[in-house]
Amino acid sequence: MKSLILKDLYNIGHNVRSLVISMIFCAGILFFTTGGEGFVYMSTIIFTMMILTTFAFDENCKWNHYAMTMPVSKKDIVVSKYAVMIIFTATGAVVGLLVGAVFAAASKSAEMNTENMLEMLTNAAAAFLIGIIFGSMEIPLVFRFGTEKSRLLMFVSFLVPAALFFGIYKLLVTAGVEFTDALFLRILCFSPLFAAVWVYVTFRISCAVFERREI
Amino acid sequence: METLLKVENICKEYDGFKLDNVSFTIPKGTIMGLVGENGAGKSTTINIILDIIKKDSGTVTFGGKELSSDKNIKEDIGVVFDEINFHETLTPEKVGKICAKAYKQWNGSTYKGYLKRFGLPADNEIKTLSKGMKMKLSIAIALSHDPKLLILDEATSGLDPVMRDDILDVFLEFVQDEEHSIMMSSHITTDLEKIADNITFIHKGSVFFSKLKDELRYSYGIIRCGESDFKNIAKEDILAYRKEEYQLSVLVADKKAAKRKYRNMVVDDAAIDDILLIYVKGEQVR
Repeated sequence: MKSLILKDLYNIGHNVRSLVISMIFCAGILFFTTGGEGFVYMSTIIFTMMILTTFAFDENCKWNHYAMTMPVSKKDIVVSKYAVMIIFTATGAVVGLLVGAVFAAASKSAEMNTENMLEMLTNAAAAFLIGIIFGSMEIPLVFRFGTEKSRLLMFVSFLVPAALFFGIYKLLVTAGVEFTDALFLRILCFSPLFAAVWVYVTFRISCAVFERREI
Repeated sequence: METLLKVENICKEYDGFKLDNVSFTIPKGTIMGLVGENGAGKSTTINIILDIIKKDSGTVTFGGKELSSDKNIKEDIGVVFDEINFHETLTPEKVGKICAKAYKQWNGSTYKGYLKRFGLPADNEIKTLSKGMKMKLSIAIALSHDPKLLILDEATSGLDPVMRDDILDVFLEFVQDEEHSIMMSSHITTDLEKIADNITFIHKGSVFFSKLKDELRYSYGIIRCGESDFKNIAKEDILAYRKEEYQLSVLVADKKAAKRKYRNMVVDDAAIDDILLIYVKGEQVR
């Protein structure tokens, strides 16, 4: 499985230059609108979306077909895609955090104090979890429909988790639950567990979909 | 001879195509050529052997073990398809690093040796290599994890004769020690005539025959005759025949006997291509 991860990292390494250019462009816009906070989310999502690019590279050279001639199982391929997606998302969050911190330090309007740093760290952690949830939705779609169709279905991977969370929220409100700051904080504390369950469920779906698919 | 790969009664059904009870064996130290028209089932057979697609029934054993039972068996199988399956921005060096992580048996110095022998620049991106060089890279990869069996699916198609000749030499070298074997699917039957020991002919999803190449080469013959002479050929002597514009080509199993029996007719040697054409485009008698 290490070989599959290494392959994706090498493949995407070639795109680093264009990635840096687009990040600088977006950073320029976001810093003057939403500030460093927006950049952390954008950076994380852009990095998460690179998982789609790795699938596209694989499709172009019929990699999966070849990978199955190696001592590699279909499950290994699925695991590697999740691992790469998590690596990308974490990198995106760290890059966003670092660039945000540099911006905050350089900007005269923002003060670098403990509170600010804590807020940035919380934003980076939240961006990481959102990226993971989004990426985990994307992977089974690509295994099922291929890269091209999945690009069109990408909004589904935003809408489904968002609709699910909103539905649960509405259900709880209807049931008389009051959403106080303390409750929000508690939910935030539980969100890593929620993301882990989400990743596990979509991973099982991806395995089932890919196992049935002839490549 | 000890059997390395045994394929027994494999079946697979799709809409409009059925792979029907395909069976053959590949002994150690031999090269088997897999031939057949496009869509005959060659690639499906290879994909089932490699467990890339699931068979409906039948067994594939490698060294006595069911191949699909353990993914580690694939350490012993090198595969080359008709195109390279690594992304074009990778370099042979990076490909080597990826494969080193994939195969426990990977031998970095063997790989470097093949890169040097084939004149492959380690730092150049794959997209800068010619088709022949890409194929040589695929072969270098397949040979660098010490496989016992090499499976080649149209690996020499699209290469010029000089390049093909170089590659065929590598294959012959590979089976020299009588421990390694090759299964080679190819439309270029002249390559198979040069190096194969056995020929397995798949036609419409079934194994038509699996024979020693020398038996085909030295025993089979083709009688070239007109309609009137054709009527004089005993039915039991005919395997298949094909009507062409000005003559008939009649495939016979015993060339020498045919020459003695039908002295007024021309009996040619049968190349694999000729045999294939008569079976596929002609009428089979027995």
